[in-house]
Amino acid sequence: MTHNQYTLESPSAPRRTRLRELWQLFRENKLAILGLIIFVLFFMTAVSGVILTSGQRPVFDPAMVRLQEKLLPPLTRPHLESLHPTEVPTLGIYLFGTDDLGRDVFARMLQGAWVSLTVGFVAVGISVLVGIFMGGIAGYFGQEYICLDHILIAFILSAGGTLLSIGSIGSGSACLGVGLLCIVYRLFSKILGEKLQSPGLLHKKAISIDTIIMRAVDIMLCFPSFFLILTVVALVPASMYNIMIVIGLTSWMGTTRFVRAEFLSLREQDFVTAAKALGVGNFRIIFRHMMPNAVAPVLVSATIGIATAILTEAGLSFLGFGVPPPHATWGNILSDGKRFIFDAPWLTFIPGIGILIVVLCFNLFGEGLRDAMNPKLRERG
Amino acid sequence: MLLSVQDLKVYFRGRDTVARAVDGISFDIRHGETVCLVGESGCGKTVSALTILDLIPRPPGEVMAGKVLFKGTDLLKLDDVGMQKIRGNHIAMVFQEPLTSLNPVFTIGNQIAEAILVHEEVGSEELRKRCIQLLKDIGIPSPEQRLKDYPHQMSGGQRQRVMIAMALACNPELIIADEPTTALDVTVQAQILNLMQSIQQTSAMSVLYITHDLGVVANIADRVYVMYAGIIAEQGDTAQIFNNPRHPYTQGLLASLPSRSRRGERLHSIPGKVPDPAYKPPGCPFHPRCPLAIESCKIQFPDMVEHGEGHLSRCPVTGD
Amino acid sequence: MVSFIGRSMVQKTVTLFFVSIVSFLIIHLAPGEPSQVDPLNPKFTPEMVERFRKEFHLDKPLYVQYIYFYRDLFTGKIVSWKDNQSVLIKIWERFLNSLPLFIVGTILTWTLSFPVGIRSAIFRGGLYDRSATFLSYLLISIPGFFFAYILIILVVTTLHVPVIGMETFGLGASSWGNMLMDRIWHLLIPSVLGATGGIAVLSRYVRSQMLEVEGQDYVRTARAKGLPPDQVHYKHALRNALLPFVTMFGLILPGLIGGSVIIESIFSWPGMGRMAYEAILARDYPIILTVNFISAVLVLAGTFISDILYLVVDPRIRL
Repeated sequence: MTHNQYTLESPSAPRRTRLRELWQLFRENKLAILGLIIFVLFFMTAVSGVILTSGQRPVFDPAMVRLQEKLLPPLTRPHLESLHPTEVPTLGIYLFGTDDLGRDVFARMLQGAWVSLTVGFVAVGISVLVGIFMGGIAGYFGQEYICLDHILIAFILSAGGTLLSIGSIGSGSACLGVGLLCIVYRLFSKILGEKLQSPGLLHKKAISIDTIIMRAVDIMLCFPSFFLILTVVALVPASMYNIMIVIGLTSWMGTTRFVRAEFLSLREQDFVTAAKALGVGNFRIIFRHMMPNAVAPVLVSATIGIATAILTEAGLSFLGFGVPPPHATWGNILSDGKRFIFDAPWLTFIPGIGILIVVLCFNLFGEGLRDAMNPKLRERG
Repeated sequence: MLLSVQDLKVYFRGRDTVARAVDGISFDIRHGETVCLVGESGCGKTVSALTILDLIPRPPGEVMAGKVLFKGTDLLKLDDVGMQKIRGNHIAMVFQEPLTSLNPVFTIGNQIAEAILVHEEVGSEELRKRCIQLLKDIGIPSPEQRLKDYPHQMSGGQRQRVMIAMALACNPELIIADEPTTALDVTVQAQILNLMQSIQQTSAMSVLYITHDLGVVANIADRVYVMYAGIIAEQGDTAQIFNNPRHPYTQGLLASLPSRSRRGERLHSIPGKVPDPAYKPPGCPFHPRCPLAIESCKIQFPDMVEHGEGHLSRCPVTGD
Repeated sequence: MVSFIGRSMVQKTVTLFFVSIVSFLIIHLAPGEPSQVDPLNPKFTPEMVERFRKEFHLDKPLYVQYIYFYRDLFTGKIVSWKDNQSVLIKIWERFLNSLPLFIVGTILTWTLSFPVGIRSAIFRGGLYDRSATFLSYLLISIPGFFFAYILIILVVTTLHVPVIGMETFGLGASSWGNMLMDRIWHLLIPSVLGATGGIAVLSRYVRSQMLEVEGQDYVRTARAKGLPPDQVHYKHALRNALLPFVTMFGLILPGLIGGSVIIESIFSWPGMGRMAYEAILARDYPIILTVNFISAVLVLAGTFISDILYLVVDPRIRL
């Protein structure tokens, strides 16, 4: 066999990294590439928008009211004689026209782009973080059981907290103290091993972590999502951050299910068993071995989630629950403009088409990513 | 001659590669004969079989050249309707995975009856009788009741029997069996093989049997074609192939069979692996793994060399 | 089977209980109280606020309020804080208004998605498939309110029919046929709007299911038997591809109560969505909570029906 050992190296398929292969597949999908390009453009617009429209003397002033110039169609030149020099739009022309208060729609769109971008990213960031955390715990530690004494301690502690916050300091601190004592006792008994066993009844397995998390998902899924978001946004003080948080906290359930399913199948795989057999710690297994495998589908759903979040924010703004004025968002430009729909259709169409294009690009990009990562489609070529 | 495949080439187009899955193979099947197509997985056996009935997914698959003559007509030139008349009626197929090859939402009675009804006009009473007879022929106990069963209610072996019953439904002249026993337990394998043999003897139909298992080949085949990387490496009678293998690949395959006479010895194995059909080596595709390879093997694609009546091998080294 | 139903009922009841607690907490822990909605309103004198608080148990601790609320809900005595009318009757009236929208929308969704999705899958990669794919992305991405205005402009300027509201005001004296056409026009646009998103999503889903099934071995077996393509696609493939959709019938149910807040407010349609919107604006907690509770019941009932349907359709699942 030795005489032609080298010839055994027959030409085989060139090796490519996973990422490179993904990019090759992704590149095939023209719509997805289009989505990516639009996304980059939108990102740059939003970033330059927030720079150009903020500060004491912004380059484009979205809040500048010129009542004598109201409802001008796009591409009209301002009447220079009736305007103060500082009121003249920076470009010397109303690129997207003006609204009913004579504000420059182009400047307002620039400002709104940043709102859409941040709402999309922060809301999805929150939902993905919560989703990965919950899903990861359910998938990896799901088989652990919570014992009755855990529940008891948690109950005592939360009762103490509630009593304290209500105002009865005495009983509240007493409850907290008892709870802390219990924790200390538990820790000691763990360290000392068998000697300090608490009574058997308290060690009864009550409910598995997986059950708790998945029931929580079920409960959240019972709420009609837009209605829930609307309710909470209406109740809490109006601000951009509240909207992001609310959207994020009401949309993590899909990611949780995803990550859990992925983890459940991954933890049965041989490489995880091998890592465990080598004595690798839980967190290293989770973050080093399992997360990279689970993160791809999460990325896809996150991309599409951004699209949904932008739509939701626009819907809220449209109903008057969005980012408070005078800050412009694409939703409230449209909402303000709807009264002039027949006289000034650009006030409806410009933000509407803007939202449409941005949401479309995220959807196309996400679907392209999903197709590229779907092994079944890959096999079929 | 019942079926004659001539210089068939089937390529699969990838994004920037062309996988030459079947690269110019020819074989013949006579009336009443059992022919085996042998080779490692990935050598193009299944693709050749699927191409006969035009079942390869297109795209990406593409027939580049060749003829499939069935009783004189070229199946590759038939239109869709003509092909449908051949499938099941004249040439039937049994697939590898009985688990996934039966439709889970229809009863097996329904699926067998369907196979008959596509090609023949039969009254409902006769249809039922024929289905029951088919199940009886293939050895399924109490067939009347089992007609109403769904595939998931049967064992793997029984499902493969049902697949065979479906293939037999219209008394085809040729059955193509694509590794019908690979997914089954060893004891069930033997039963299915016996069943296929007895059917063939009683009905005098031809069988094209595709397998990687040389033990099976020795049991059932009249003639054998050994495939490697999309080409025929060696062909001949079963006796010729087993007693006097001439191609180094066939020799390697036979040497890697465990046998009683060589107990305790290390099993032989062929080094390396089957080349990726998209990146085949030039010259003889087997040369990187061949212990007898000479310089010319790396450049020159070998011709068939005759070693005896119908015994051909594609190796210039052992041919002399 | 019976034990499955029993277990699932118990589980769903427990879930419902937690939903009731969570929704109650969300509403009541949020800052602000309904009695303080409008401090400048002269009707809200301190005495009035005090009486209001007493009447609706707002002075009691939360868990007492919770018990009072759900006791009232189950005995049907619950009343709106705004006008002291029975919440259930109010919801029922609005529900009847939303029902036609829901029915027409659902019929449109389900009758259009399937032909489009199946055709796309069978002619995968063709012109039809690609245009249907792009169109569905467009429909998923378009904001509902923007699309609504486009449709309104189109219909009003080209056909000159009024579309806002449930019917044209002051048409009482005209002929029966005119009234009917008027009603249909008013119904059509909001229904189409409500259905677009559903059609886009569902047809994509049908397409992917169908593609998945077309690649299965049993479809190849069916072809190998010599079945004509129509039988292969519409009998062997479709029957399997349909399985998951049967279960989706159950998931239509929650749509009954949701209605669309945005569409109903654009078209001034006095349905459920609009009522919920007004209730949120007025902080009318009983209505918000009741709508929420009913919709949770419907979601749970929907998943329950789905599970049962799945058992019935898929011969592989037997309990």
